[in-house]
Amino acid sequence: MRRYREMDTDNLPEGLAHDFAVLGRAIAVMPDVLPPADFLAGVMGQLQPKSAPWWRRALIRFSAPSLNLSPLQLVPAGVAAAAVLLACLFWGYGTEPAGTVAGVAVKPGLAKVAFTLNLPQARNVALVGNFNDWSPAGFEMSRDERSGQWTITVPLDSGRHEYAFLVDYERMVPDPGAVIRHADGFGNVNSVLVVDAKHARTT
Amino acid sequence: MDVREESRILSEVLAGDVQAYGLIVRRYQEPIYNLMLRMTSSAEDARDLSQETFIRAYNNLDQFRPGARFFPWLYSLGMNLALDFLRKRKRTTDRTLEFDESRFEQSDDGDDPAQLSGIEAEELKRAMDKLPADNREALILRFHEDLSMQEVAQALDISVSGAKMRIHRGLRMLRGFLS
Repeated sequence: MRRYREMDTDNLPEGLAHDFAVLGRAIAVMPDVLPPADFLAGVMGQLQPKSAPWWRRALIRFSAPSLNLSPLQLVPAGVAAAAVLLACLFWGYGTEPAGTVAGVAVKPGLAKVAFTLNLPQARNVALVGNFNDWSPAGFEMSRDERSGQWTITVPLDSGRHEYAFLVDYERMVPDPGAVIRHADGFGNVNSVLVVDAKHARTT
Repeated sequence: MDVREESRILSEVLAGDVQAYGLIVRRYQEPIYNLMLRMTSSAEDARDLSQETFIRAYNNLDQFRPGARFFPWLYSLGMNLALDFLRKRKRTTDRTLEFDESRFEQSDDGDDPAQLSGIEAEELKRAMDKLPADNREALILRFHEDLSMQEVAQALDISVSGAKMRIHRGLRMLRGFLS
């Protein structure tokens, strides 16, 4: 049965409030006309595949209210210049035991990689990248109260990883000190990290 | 389909999965088609305008605000398309202009006993058809589509207080027709 919203009838005379409620219920259950059977095909036949930049897809996907994130807004890439990199990467020795770290299943042979961003004025920072499907959940960074630096250490597989910092759930900031950067073709730049877990090296 | 599911689907659409958009079309084809039927009173025009609404929404998906519900944004696109269509057809015997709302502008103070009990569906439809489109669509969005007042405002490109006013006036007019 269809739900309906009650009118705010606090300030209405009783008779009017009653009638408004009756009308609201009646409108709620008004019958709809079904669209023609070929409606969907008519729309789908005229669409071309999209190729939006990764950050746009990530923003739409992970800004749903059920994740308790504020609506996201993009900022010019120039904001990234405000962030100062004090990033250091260190790598683990040997292998990690099975388990879960920051939402990533840890397998033997992963390298521990520490990400650091010096942005004291940020309220919160999360690490997002292709290794976590650009999802901030579980990848929130910790802030050092004295230095204002944000850090997180995650286990990463060997290979090439693209990533960025999600600041205040509002803007994407690339790692200004990343050795490799990759333009996504839409005027934005991703940071790139290459991990060699076998020899415990990163580039 | 909740907002989170909707966001996931839209993300897939933006990643190049055209077929995922079919889920969005299926979900909202009925309210958009019915909007166009009310606006044009023509099944053929309603089909064309509804399909154009979904195609335009797809092509302008980069303007959709992340985190918001898709339907108010889609509805707003549809309303604008319908109004453009009516203007071009010079069919704008705009009921909002020729409709005399003043006779429904009564004070809410004082004794005003209840006048409605049961309402026939056909009778309600005829009364809804008499309403100016602005008021009618506000009532449909609020009670039939179950949108919040803020979402009604967004769908109609007006303020929240403007949406409340349209709904209140719409109910008053409807009550006048049916009493």
